[in-house]
Amino acid sequence: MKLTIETPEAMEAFGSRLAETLQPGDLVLLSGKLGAGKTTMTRGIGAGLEAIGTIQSPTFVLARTHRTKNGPKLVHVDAYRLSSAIELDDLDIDFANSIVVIEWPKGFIDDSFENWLLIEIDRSSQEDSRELSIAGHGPRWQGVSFDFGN
Amino acid sequence: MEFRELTVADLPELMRLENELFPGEAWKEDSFRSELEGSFTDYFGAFENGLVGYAGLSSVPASFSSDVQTLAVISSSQGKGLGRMLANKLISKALALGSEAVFLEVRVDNNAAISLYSSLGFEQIDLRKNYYQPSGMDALVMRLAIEQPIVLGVESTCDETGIGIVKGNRLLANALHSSMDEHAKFGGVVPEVAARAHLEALKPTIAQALKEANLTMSQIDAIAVANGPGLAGALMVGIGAAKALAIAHNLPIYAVNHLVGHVGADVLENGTVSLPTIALLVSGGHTSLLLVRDLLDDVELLGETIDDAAGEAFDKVARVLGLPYPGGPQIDKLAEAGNPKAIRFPRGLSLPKDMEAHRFDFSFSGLKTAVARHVEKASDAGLEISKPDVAASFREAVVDVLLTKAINACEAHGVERLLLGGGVVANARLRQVAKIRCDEAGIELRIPRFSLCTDNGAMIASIGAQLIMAGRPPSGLGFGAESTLEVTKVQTI
Repeated sequence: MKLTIETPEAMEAFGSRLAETLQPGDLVLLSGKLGAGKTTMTRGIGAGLEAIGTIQSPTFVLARTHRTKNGPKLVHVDAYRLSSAIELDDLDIDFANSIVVIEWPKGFIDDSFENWLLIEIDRSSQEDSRELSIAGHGPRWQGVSFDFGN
Repeated sequence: MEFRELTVADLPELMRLENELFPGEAWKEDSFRSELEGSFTDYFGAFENGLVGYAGLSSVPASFSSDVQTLAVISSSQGKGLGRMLANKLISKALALGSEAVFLEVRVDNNAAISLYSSLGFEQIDLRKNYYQPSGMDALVMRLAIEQPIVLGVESTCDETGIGIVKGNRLLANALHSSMDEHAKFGGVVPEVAARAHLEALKPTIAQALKEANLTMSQIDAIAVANGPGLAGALMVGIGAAKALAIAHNLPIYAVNHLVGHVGADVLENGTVSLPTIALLVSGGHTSLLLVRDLLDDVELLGETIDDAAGEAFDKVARVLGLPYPGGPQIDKLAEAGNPKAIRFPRGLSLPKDMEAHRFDFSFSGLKTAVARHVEKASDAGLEISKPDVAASFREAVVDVLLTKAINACEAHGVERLLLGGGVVANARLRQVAKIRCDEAGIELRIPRFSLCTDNGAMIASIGAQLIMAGRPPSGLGFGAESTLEVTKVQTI
């Protein structure tokens, strides 16, 4: 599905709504150019999950794990500097019991997982607004419908 | 019996006792007032149905010594060991402040006092003729030597393996091994690479630090280690090494906060850290604004980045401009030839609407987007951009927002000191603008030397030493790496 997001605040709100759908084991891939709003959306997901600690960019540390108030951990990954599935494996992420958000996903990620939700963010409009395209892959996302009240 | 620090509010009672105890030789009220108000003096009172005794200490920073200003007990309370208790208060304070000696003068005919001080370890070092006026009585000068703890500190939160050694407030060694070159090909720090590099660098770096300090492990009194915040894998290696050293040499170990370490670095530069202070810590991994009222007990996080750290923004903009990692020095170099006012890039979280929730927080995400857009727009239109102008304007935006918020924090909290720390302090423009803005605002600017600003082991050793000097118990061996350790937790027990 496609969606237009007008402001950074709306991007955060979108993330927050998305979090309601997410379960342990879910993998969300966020793609989009520098400054598209990937971390902003993740901040919204964090807010929705009541994640502990500020959701900052994971670029420097590659992956940041946040405990959440009552639910599964939120793992926030920046794959920009990862070049293989082995390097991702080195990060020791507990995929089965966490909600994992990966920014800058690469081809090798598709080969390593069965299910994922891909959100592409397009910021080619010169305004603040962003075009989102959301697509689920694998059995986990079959028949899952999103109601973002657009 | 109750002991507490005296304030100006105690002045009337203090003067009543002073005049009663030292008729004709009593200090004037004005002198006592300035003693109580002074930054480098500490006065304690003993209370039992009112003030019954008092003692004062003066400790000038960087002198590494303290002087007993006065010590007095009213006659009806004498013989109860009150003088000894007050003297011990002063000695504890001198120890906590990093003094290596306490000096005092005492009347040669005051046998009770002389024998008290002697029993506490003071030795006579001099005699001053006609010291007390108008009586003309001679004074004995006495000195107590204090052995400050020698602490070895281990820093491994990111890509620097740092081993520092301090004695109290004195820097003895600061050895460093950086694995930055190994990360360059990955375009940033890789935790696994950093952890392995720490493993290889630790032993030689420890040896280098001991050599620098001209010490052997048997002369070390305690181990300190940064247990967070930082990269989990990197932290584990440093913590493992620190625990092994502590067990092998039977030494106490102190797990300390890396960010507070950056503030503690100033102790090694100055012999003390002047408090309260606002601290702006800026590096590849952190952008934090702290209010430090007490180094060990009162550190408050006023704000931090809500997206990219400042150093990270430099790296990402360097990527946009096609420059190699690390981006900071590259952009700095390019910016020298550029016009900082060429492009007005946005200042994150600086709008009136941000002041409520994010007054002291930082955001560099919008700035990064603006730079990317600027470059793309020019390229789409087939125009050449001036990379030096982009670099200079970007750098100006980062420096402007960092210092505007830091100085606002000083003003909002009535703090007249700003301390800079972290690797981004290497940025010449940041230091330059900081100096100008602080001068304008009447704020004292503190920037420790560069080797103490970047990640280093000496600052970790320094916090360990401060904890020991304040009489804090060591950490157990049960602590672990805490990658998101909050800044309020100075020591992990």
